[in-house]
Amino acid sequence: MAKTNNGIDMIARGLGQAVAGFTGTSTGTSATTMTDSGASFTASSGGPPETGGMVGWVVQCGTVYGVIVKNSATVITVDYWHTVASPGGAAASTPGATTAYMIIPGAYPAAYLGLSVATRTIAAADPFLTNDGTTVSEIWNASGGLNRAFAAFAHTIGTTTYTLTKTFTTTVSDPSSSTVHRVGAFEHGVTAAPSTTTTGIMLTETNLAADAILTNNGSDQLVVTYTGTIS
Amino acid sequence: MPHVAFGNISPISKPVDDETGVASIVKHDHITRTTTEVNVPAEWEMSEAFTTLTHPNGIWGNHSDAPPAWVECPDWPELEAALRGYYGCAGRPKKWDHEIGEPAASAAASKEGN
Repeated sequence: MAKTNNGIDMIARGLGQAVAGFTGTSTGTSATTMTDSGASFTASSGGPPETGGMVGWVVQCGTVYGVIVKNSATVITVDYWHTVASPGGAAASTPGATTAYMIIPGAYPAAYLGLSVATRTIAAADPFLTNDGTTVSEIWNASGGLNRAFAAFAHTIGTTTYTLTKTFTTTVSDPSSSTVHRVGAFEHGVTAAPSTTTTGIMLTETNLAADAILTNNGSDQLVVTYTGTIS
Repeated sequence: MPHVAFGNISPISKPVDDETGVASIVKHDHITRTTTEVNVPAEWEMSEAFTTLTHPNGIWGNHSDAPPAWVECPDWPELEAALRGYYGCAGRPKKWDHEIGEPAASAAASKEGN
């Protein structure tokens, strides 16, 4: 479990509440944005992906919420709109243009697992799953079974670890063969191939004990358990 | 999201080396009775939930080296029944007080030195 620099910053900012919350009424929305033309949000910067500002905070807009990927003083960009009961499920409907919202101060859980064939040495400075340090090398295919996904959380009371576990099952939409080498734990979900700007915050990256060679037969499975240590 | 709880009488952890991916097994001898709680994504089907919980590389295999003393999942009765049948256990007893002692002195000293 190698925490990334962005991941460590995310933990610190979330536990210590780096930026306060915010409430208001939106003046515009889209599938990945919420605008409040009268707001003065602390802006994110740097990257990609951008960090600081409200990144990693949750904006509740009506009955749905999004995890903030980046923001300016007036525009919040989220990963997508989630339903409360199924945070890893399909995207919820876009809230109405003028909807009451609340930005909740504190970091969202990093409970999404993404897979990669990258074999480059893991580095704390890696902002995303990459094999060259500048481009994203995370597996993603439309209707594929190896795409980034929300995992099951587990913790045993009294221990200093927790786990995130996901069973990935290939589909015919995956490549004919994928040699999975690495897993990353992410704070943000994605609904399309992650880019350097949409990938969100990667908390950790870890190599698998052995490469998993998966074919797109619709039945190959990979059970991945990521263990996080609280220390 | 369905919540599953297991009675755990032999808890372990498996921290992983980042580069090799090899897990070391840490047995928590100071804990003799505890609970492992699991949050299962609501969109998962029964087969995925069962596999993820019971596979050797899955959840239970990463939290204990003994069968669960009990299983409880009131949110998903079919999953609860399948897990109880697989592990041969019943539901949570009326009294399940956690027994969690102090970690070994060497472990505590190591932690203080960090």
